[in-house]
Amino acid sequence: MISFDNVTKEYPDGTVAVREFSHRIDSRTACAFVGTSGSGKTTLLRMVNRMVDPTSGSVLVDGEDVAAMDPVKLRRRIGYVMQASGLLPHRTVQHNIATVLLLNGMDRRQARSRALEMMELVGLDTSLAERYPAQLSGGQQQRVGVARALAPDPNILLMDEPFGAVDPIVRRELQHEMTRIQSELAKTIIFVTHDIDEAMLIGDSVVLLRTGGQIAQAGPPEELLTNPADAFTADFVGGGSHERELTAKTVNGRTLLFDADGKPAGVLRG
Amino acid sequence: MSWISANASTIMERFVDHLVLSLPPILLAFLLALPLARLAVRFRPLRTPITLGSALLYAIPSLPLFIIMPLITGIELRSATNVIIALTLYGLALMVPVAADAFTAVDRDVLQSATAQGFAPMHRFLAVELPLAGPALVAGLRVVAVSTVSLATVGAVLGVPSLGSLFTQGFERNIMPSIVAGIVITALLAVLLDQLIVLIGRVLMPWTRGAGVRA
Repeated sequence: MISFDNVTKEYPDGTVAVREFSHRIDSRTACAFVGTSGSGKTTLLRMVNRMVDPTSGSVLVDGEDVAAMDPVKLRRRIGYVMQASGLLPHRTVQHNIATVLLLNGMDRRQARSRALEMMELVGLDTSLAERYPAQLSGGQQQRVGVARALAPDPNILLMDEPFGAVDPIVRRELQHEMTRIQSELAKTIIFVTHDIDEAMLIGDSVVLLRTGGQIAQAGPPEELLTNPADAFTADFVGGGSHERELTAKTVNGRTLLFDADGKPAGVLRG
Repeated sequence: MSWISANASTIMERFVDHLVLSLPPILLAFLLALPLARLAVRFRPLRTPITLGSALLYAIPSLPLFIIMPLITGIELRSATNVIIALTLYGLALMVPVAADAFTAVDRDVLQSATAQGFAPMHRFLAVELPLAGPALVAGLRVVAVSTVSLATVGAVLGVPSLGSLFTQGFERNIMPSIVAGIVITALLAVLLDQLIVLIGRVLMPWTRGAGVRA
């Protein structure tokens, strides 16, 4: 369980990235933080592994204040995936995945075989093990990033727009892969994104943020869709602006669904 | 050619003298430049004094420096140590700005990510930052090596033996083969060291080979 308890982050120049944010993420659930840039979502994420320390308030992991923990040890037990994959360019795929295992003192052979298992888990061909990151496609690099984060079997996974830099087809593939992995492993995940569709696909719950880490609405995706708290949520989610309302019409004996602009959105089954 | 074979042992001695004069400054300049450059990059206000200082250092003409050095250090003018210290300063002057640029150019995202994986600061420097700055550091080291080998000849004017002695003495006694041998062997040594550094770089940084081969 991760709890944000009234956290504020103010920088020396006076900018407030996050103001008095409180929220709780239950164990073994995925929570998506969604918002535009400047909403403080990445700042919040980084407070969990102490890449950022709050100016006031506290972040608790399983009831323990992270401020009291050694940051290096804390980070080694929290998985972290970022947008630009952040792989070490001078190490092979296998070595990258084994990074934290080796930092934790696992012996090389064991770490290597664990890295190969992880490659299979995230759908990477193990023949890529000896490649360097620059020799992989963007999508493959992100898979390596996920495998690396999962290798030490952490309870918590922090994901900072992990699929933001890949093309839409690969992104969709990675999103579905992620939901499959989550259904198998059930980690406590904080997933930061600016894409509401991605947030609703990955998150068991969604926290919609406005500027300065203000919660516009938090709850399961259905609730944001069916019961938006205000115009901001409705607009962001698209439910109130008719964008997500579909109209059914029968064409050539099949029922097609049309969006608000009259463009075909899909075919109704059954 | 007959002069060379007749003086082979002298040439060999000067060659060894030259290595003794030039290898320590190359290594020292490289090793000392790393922490200095890293400090300059880490603490912004230090950057200008450090890089500017090293640039000014390089602007001091070599002969006066060799002569002034003993006054400051108290070391004998004609000793190898005097030359080694002066050459180290020149090496630093070249290496510090290059190393500062090399560290600046390391991808911030990769460093952030390494921190997030749980690298402690010193470990991150040695295992991530240093190797990633490696190719640029090697480029700088090559210039330092060639420059140092060439500058070491100046010691001969002061009476510190090196390959430079072959041409200073060649001029004095008007022995053409001696002059040519001094110049050619100095150049060869420079090329040899340069290529050795390239080779070591390739072995230590395998990821820089064959990059761009996509899956």
